Formats: sequence, structure tokens, C-alpha cells
Amino acid sequence: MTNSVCKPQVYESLYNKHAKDLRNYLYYKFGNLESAEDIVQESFIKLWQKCADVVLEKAKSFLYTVATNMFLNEKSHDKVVLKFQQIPQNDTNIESPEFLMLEKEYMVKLQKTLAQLPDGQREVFLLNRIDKKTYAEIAELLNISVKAVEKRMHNALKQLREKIGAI
Amino acid sequence: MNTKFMDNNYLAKWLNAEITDEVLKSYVGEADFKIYYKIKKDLERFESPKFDTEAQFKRLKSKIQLANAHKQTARVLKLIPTWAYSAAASVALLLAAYLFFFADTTLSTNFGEQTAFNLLDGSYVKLNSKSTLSYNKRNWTNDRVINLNGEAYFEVEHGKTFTVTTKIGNVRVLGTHFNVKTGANYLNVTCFEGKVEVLINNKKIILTPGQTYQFAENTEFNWTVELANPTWINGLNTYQNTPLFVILNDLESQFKIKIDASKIDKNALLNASFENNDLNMALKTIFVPLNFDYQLKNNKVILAKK
Repeated sequence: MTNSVCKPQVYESLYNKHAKDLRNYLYYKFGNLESAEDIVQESFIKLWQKCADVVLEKAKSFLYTVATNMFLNEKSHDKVVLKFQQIPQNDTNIESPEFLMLEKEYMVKLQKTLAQLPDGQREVFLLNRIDKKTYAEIAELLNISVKAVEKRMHNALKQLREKIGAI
Repeated sequence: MNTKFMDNNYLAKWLNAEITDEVLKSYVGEADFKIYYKIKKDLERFESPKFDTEAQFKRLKSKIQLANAHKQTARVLKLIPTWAYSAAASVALLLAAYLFFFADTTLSTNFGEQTAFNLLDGSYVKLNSKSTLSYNKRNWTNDRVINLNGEAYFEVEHGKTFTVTTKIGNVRVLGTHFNVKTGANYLNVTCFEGKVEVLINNKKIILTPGQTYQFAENTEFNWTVELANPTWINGLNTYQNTPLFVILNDLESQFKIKIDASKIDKNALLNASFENNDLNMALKTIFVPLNFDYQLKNNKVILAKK
């Protein structure tokens, strides 16, 4: 029982390791930040209550399953609006006001298009692009094949490109 | 486009650096490649919302401690000998009997809350925010009396006399639909169906459907409305010839705010309305037409004449 989830150190390290990722996953999937954070708390409370029954290796999937179910029951569903840095990262030196304005408009468009992606595509796409999860990790998390992850990635980027149009 | 040799999901593979820029260029052409490249680059500017792991963990810990504390008190109870339970049960029974026969039943609403319920005879009551209503269950069949502070809409079943008592006066009906709104030095009764008697200062006023009687700061008013029921039960507060202090009091009850109107005549009679689900909108719809300046800060509103 050295690695029991009931051990406070083990429990805390699980929190440090998974809380943020879980929050992001819920946020990307359902769009409601506040609910996402509440549900992370609730899921971890559940984990503590059941700590004797959940082995360490299963703790992560326990958390994700509990959290997803809670969220599905709540049914609240908002748009995912991610913040972006205002300063463009590209190497061009053109910084005329017109350019910056167009640039901002374009970023807002990208932001909106991300929000409008189908749920399945958006969660996969953001988990990979923002949280830097590999396709294999995402596949395991969502219980789908790596092929399915690739397909969603491909379609998501394709849609972004189509909706953005010419730049 | 060289579709023949294209990988499935080539965009996913490109994002994952499984195929090179050159290969993608050969698939989609120079122009599209540039756009894909820009999107990929710009996606790096997006970030997930901040997450304070340490603070969140603290919050979690206190929640768990709270849950544990509840568990422990439950365990302590088990140590009490069983005879204590029967003793406690008898006491509870006596208390319940006392409450049933002698104590009044009280119902109240908090800031911004509304509640609806049926009385013992099936009469329907809807209570507006920050209102209190009480009655005695024991005597109910003989004497239907309700004490009210605040605002309520009644749909009374036919039966013995039904009386609503308030600080200002009483309202007596047999079986009708009517609305009563009351506060310190204010009473407003509207009849929607049947006949309503208002008893105030040894006077009796009879209202028929559509008529409103108002007593404010020792002045009486009468007018008629063309409504089937009060608008507040559907989320819209409307006022006619109503003193400003009544409207301000409703805003405070609805939105849990404090209004400082010391610079203004609070007895001025106004016609106004506001929807009870949006504070900013409500303040705007009321004060802008009146030409008042208002400032909202930390749930406090300061009013001034323009």
C-alpha cells in the first residue's frame, strides 16, 4: 500500500499532475470555465472518498470519467473563447496601425472559428495545439483510436482554413 | 494537386511533423500552404485560462475537511445510548404538535427570489422577492388569515372569508384573484377577478376587476389597469403613480443592492417598469428616462439629479 491514493502525498501529487489538464479538457469540451473548475474539485473529492478502491494507475481515468459524467449531467454548454497574446509572434516588422488592426480582426476570427468547431474536433485540436498532448495521449484519454484523432485534427485544421478564407 | 500520393489526414501528419513543409506544399500548393502555415503559427498565441494549482488545492482541502467533519459528527451520534433516541423522538413529537397547533407557519423569500405555493385550501400564492407571509394552520378552515409584508399575488379558492393583514390595512375577499403590495406606510391592492374589500383607517373600499387602490404617505389613489394578472409574476415589475421609494425598495429587494437617494425627492409619483433579471438594464430603464444620474459601485447605487 505504499502508493495508495489515500496517502496525502500521493493524492496531492495526483492533483498537481492532473488538475490543470483535467480543467482544460473539460473547458475545451464544454466551454464553461467556472463549471469546469467546480467539477475538477468535485471529481477530486470523489477520488478521495473512494481512494481505497481506486489503484494509482486507474486514478487518472477515474477522474476523467467521473468529471465527464458530471458535466454531461449538468448540460451547460458555452462557447470556448481562448485568449490570445496581442503581439504577433511572426517575424515581419510591419507594424502600421492598419496592419495591427487587420491582424487583430483576423485573430478574433480565428478565435471564433475555433469556438465553432464541432465539439469532438475542438477538444482534440486544442488538447494537441494548446496543451501539447500527443495524438496517442489524446486517443487514450478519449478512448478512441489514434487514426480517429488524426482525422479530427485534419478536419479541424481544414475547417479553420476554409472559414478563415484568404488572408 | 498531387492527390494520388497524398497521405490520409495529411494535415494532422504535418501538424505532428510527420510530413515536411515541402510535402504539404506539393499537396496543397504554395498559396494554401502559406495560409496553413500562418494558422499553425498563430495558434501558438492562444493559451488556456490561468490555473492556480496551489490555490485550487487549498480550496479542495478545505472542502474535504468539511466533508470529514460531517462524517465524524455522524459517528459520535452512534455512541449515544438507544434510549436517548426515544426520548429525543418524544420531545420532537411534542415540539411538532406545538408547532402545528400554536405556532404560525412562515414563508419568506430572499433578495431576487420568487416562490409560489398552495395553501391548505388549495388557494395559490406567489410571493415576490424579500417578502414574508405567515398564517396559522390550526385555525385555517375557520379563519383564513394571512399576514403579509412585501408583495404577493393570490388566487383564492371559494370558501370562508380570506383576509390579508398588513401594517397599513386589511384586504378581505371571498374567492378572487388579487395582488397585495405592502411596506412601511404603503399599501397597493389590485383586483383581477371577483370583488376585493380594502379596510383601512375605518373605511371600506370595494375594488372590482381592473381597479387598483393605493395608499402612500397618507394619500389615496385609485386607478384601473387592463391586465389579467400582475406583470411581476412574469418577471416584469411595472408601476403607475407609484412613489419613488417603493420602486427603489423593489430594486433593492430584487438585486440585493443599496440605493442612496438622499439627494432626491423619494415621494415623487412615477410610472416606470423594469425586468427583474438584469440589474444594469433595470437601472437604465428606470433612471435614464427620469433624467437621473446614477453610479453603480460594489452593489451600491448613488442617485443624483442631472
